[in-house]
Amino acid sequence: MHCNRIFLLFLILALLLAGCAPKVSADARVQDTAGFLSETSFLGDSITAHMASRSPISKKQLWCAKTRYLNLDSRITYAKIVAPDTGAEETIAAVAARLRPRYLVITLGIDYGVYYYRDEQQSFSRCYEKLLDAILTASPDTVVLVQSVFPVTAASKAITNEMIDRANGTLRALCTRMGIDYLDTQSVLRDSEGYLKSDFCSDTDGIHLNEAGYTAMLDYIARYGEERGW
Amino acid sequence: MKKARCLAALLALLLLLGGCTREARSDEAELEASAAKVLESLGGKERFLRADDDFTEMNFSADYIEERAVYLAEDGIGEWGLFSLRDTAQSRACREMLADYLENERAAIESLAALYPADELQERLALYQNAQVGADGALVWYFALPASESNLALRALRK
Repeated sequence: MHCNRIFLLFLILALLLAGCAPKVSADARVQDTAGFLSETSFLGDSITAHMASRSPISKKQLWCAKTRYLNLDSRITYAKIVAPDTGAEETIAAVAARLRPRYLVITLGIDYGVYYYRDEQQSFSRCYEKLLDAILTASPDTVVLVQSVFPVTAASKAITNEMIDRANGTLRALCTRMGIDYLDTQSVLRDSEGYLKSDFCSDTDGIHLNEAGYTAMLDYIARYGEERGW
Repeated sequence: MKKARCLAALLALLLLLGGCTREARSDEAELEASAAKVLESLGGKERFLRADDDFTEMNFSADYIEERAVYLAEDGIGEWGLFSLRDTAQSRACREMLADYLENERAAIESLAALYPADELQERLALYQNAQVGADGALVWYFALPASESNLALRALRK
């Protein structure tokens, strides 16, 4: 009887402790892997720019244009972004040459590229490659990660997921050819029908992410870095 | 005698080819001189960057174009270009190509302007809406610039 009570006490204690153990949430992973993500800069259009207010990533890690749009087109190497250290507008290569980030995640294509080059994948690839060459020439030690273009909801009027899938296929092939990491983040953002999950979408335009969307995105990137010991 | 004829033919061929090379160099020199005049009239290299071959080949690729000189505004607002043709009979085709290019740019900026409320986009849109395309013999040009600057550039070209 005495042993049964002790056993019961231990059982209750064990159950209580298990209930109190902290769950590792996506946020916690993002926070815990601060080493990798904290050394990562993010280059992109408005989807990247919105990280400033909808994610834990610091503004100093964001490389975006003043107007937030950043076309993936033949002018991409001439386009100016706001340098996060000086606030001045400079080309992407100029910023890369000076800041030399350890890791650089690039998310481009929704502005111009996916739509206007939808039937000219060679042009889409050529513009992106031009940008990658410019960055790697300016900062050869930076680990560049090309992030897939994100899916859109059914509300997106001009850009379709078919166009996006085509563009991502082109990006994947380009990354393989250039030996660059490709982040298939779109795989965790889409629902069973291939649309951007409605829980992740912030706007009626069907394109931009909300906080939950950015958490899912950063969780994916953090895991990618973990798997590589970064 | 036979040898002399062969040598004469070879010499003639060499002179002909040399003439062609001289002509190509002359076309390039003329285009560069025209571009330099326009550039100077518009404020020089501080305002405009020469677009690289990758850009010009991607956007202005045609067999009938001998040389290209395309300049993009440093601040992203405005651009212009000069093209020398191999054959003046292709002038219309070249002008149509440039008109298509400008219309595509205009449409893209218009779409962007609908999404992003930036004054700069409206400014750029106006330039493409009022862009000019023209030709003078084997020289074809386009200007997506404020009207006053297009006029300055045209005057410089005609000097």
